[in-house]
Amino acid sequence: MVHINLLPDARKDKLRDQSNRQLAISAATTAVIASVAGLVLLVVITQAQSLQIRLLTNSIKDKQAQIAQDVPEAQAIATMQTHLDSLGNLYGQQVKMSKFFTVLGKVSNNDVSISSVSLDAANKLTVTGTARSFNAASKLAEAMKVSNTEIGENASPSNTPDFSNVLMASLSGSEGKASFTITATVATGVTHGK
Amino acid sequence: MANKTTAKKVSKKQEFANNLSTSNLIAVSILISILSIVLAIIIGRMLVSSLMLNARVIGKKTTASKQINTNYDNLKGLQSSYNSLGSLRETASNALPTRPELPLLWAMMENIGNSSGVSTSSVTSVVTSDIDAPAGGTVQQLPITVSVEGSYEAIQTYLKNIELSTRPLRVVNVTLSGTNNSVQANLLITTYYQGPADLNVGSEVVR
Repeated sequence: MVHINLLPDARKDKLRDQSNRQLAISAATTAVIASVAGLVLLVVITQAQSLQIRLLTNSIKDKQAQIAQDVPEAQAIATMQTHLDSLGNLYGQQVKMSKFFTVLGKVSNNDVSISSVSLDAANKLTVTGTARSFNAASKLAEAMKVSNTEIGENASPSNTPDFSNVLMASLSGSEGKASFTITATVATGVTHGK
Repeated sequence: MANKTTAKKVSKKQEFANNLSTSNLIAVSILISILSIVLAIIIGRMLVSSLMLNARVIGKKTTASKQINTNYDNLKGLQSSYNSLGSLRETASNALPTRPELPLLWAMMENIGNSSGVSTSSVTSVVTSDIDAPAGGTVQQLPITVSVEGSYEAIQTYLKNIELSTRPLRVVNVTLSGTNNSVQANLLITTYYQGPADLNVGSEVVR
C-alpha cells in the first residue's frame, strides 16, 4: 500500500516551523527551570548548614554551662591533672647530681678538691677541680664510670651506670697540684628516698 | 478592566512571539538558556564556596562538641578521685604551683638546709613578680641561686635532699670553696611552675 502525503508544502512548512518553535521554547524553559531549581537547592542546603552550625554552637554553650554547674571544681581538677602529667615528666628527667658527690666520697677526699660542678640542658656534667696527682684525678674519673655498677648503695653490674661518656677532658699542672676537668652524662630518673 | 489589560498583555506577547521568525525565536531561546545557565553557574559557585566553608565549620564544631562532651565525662570521672585526694591536693599544687610562689620556695629551701645540717646564707631569684603563668601554658623554668654553708657531708646530704623534694629542683651548677669542715656551696637551681589549665572554649578562624 502506498501512502501519499496530500498536504501542501506550505502547510508542511508551517507544521515543521511550529514544531521547531515548540522545541526551542521547551528547551529554554527547561534550562531556566533547571538553573533556578539548582540554585534553590543550593540555598536550601546552605540554610540547613547554617541551622546545623547554630545548633552545634548552642550545644557547646549548653555543655559548657553544664560543666560549670555539675563540676564547680573543674578548673582545679583540670589544673591538677595537667600539673601531675608535667610533674611525671619533670621527675623522670630528675638528675642524680648527688651521685657524683657519693663517688667523690669513695675516692680520697684529701687527694681531690672540687671547685665547680655544672650541668647543662643535655644533662652533661662538667666537673673542675684540683688533685694531688694525675693518678688521683684519673681515679675519680674511673670511679664515676663504675658508679652504681661497682660502687654505691645496691651496686650491681646489671644496674644502669650513674654516669656515661665519662671523659677526662683536661688534665694539667704538676705533681702535687693538677687541675682537671671531667665531663660525663648523668643518668636521669625518679630519685627514691632511702 | 483588569481582564482587558491581561488580555492585551497576552496578545502582545503572542504577537511578539508570532512576529518573531522561527530562527529568531530559536536564537532568543538559546540566548535565554545560556544566560540562565551562566547566571546559575556564577551564583552557584558563590553558594558552593559558602557551602564548603560551612561544611568545614560544621566539621570543626562537631569535633569541638565531641571534645567538650568527652571533657565533661572525664571531669565527672575525675571529680570523685580529686575529692578523695585530701591533703595530697595541697602537696601536688605545691610541687608545681601556678606561679613562682617565692615565699614558699624560700621556706622550703631553708627547711631542706636545716634538715641537712647546712645553714642557708642567701636565696635569690631573677623573677620580679609573683603572678600566675598564662593559663594553658607549658612548664615555666624558674632559676634561683642558693648559698649554703656546712661540712662536706652536710652539703652532700643537702644535695640528696634537694633531689627528694616534691617540688622538682634541678641543680645546674655547684661551686664549692673552703675546707672539708666548712664548705661554702653556691648552687644555681632550676625549679618550675605552670599556669592553670585553660577550660575556656576558644575560637578558631576557619578559612
